[in-house]
Amino acid sequence: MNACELNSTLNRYFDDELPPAQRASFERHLRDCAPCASELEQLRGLSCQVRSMALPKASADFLTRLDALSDRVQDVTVIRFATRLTAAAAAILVAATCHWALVSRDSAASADASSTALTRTETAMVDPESAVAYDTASASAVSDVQLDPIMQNLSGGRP
Amino acid sequence: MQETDPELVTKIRLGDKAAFQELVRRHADSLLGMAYSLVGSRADAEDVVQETLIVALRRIQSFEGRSAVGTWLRGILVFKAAKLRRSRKVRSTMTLQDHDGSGDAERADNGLASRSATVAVDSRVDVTAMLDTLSQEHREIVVLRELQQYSYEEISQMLKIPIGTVESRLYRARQELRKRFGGYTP
Repeated sequence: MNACELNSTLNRYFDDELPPAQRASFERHLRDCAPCASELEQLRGLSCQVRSMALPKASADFLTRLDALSDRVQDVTVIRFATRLTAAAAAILVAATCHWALVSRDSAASADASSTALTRTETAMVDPESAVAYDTASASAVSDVQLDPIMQNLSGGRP
Repeated sequence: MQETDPELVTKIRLGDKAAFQELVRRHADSLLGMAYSLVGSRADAEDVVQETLIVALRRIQSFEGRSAVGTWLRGILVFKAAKLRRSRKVRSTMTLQDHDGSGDAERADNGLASRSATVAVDSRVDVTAMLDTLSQEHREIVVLRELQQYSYEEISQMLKIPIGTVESRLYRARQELRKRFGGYTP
C-alpha cells in the first residue's frame, strides 16, 4: 500500500472493475503518481506468478472413475419422481386436513349454537339476571309473570 | 452439432447417463485444476471434484440456470474444497499433537505440510507453496480472481459475500502475498 489517496482504486483498476470514465481518469493519474505505478507493476508481477501455476489435467483413470458416477443419474430420476409423488401426497394431505378442519368447525358451530341456546334457557330459568346480561332479547321474552314464582322459589319465599 | 451445457443438464434430469459423461468430460480439466489450486494436492483435488459432481447430481433438479453450468459447478467445488481444507486442518492439528513423529510422514505424503512463510522465492517459486501460506478465505479469493479470472460480481455470487467484501478480501490477500513474496521478479 502506498500513501496515495487513490491507492484503493488500484486493485479495481488492475482487475478491470472500473467504469470507462473512471478508468481513463486513473490512467491519467498513473502517469504522474510513481508510487501507484510502482505498486501496479508489483501487482502485475504477482498475478503473473500465480497464473504460472502448473495445473494438472484429468487422467484417463480419473475420468473412468468420474464416468462411474453416471450410475447415480438413475437415482436422480428416481428422486425426481419421488419428489413429485411426495409433493402430490403432501398437497392431498393438506387439502384433506383443511376439509376436515372446516367440516369439524361447522359441526362444532352447530353443536355450540344448540348447546348455547339450551344453556341460556336453563340459565334464564335459574338466574334471570345473568340471562339478561348474556342475552337481553331472550330475557325480555320471559315475562314477569313467569319469573315471579321462580324468584320467590329461589329466595325461599312462598309461591 | 454439440449440445450446450443447459441441454445436457436437461437430459441428465431425464436420466441420460451419456449426457452426464459428456458434461464431465467437458469440465473435468478445469474443475480439477481449480480444485488443485484450492487444496494443493492432486489426490485431494480428485476427491473434491468427485464430491462436487455427486452434489451437483443431487441438486440438478433445483438448478435454475441463473448462472452458467460451469460457474454453478465451480461454486459447489469452492465449498467442497473449503470443507476438505477445514477437515485437513483439524487432522493436521491432531497429527501435530502426536509426538511420535509419525505425523510428519503423513503430512509429507499428502503434500499437506504447513509450508513456512519463508519459502524460497526466486523465478522458480512454487506457486502451490505460496498459496499454502494463505488462509482459506484468501486462497479462495486469489484462485477465483487470478486463476479463474472471475469478476468481482461472479465471485460475490459464488461465495455469497458482498462485492465490497470481495474487494477488501482480495486486497488483503494480495498484500499478504506481496509481503511474503514481494522480492521475486516475474
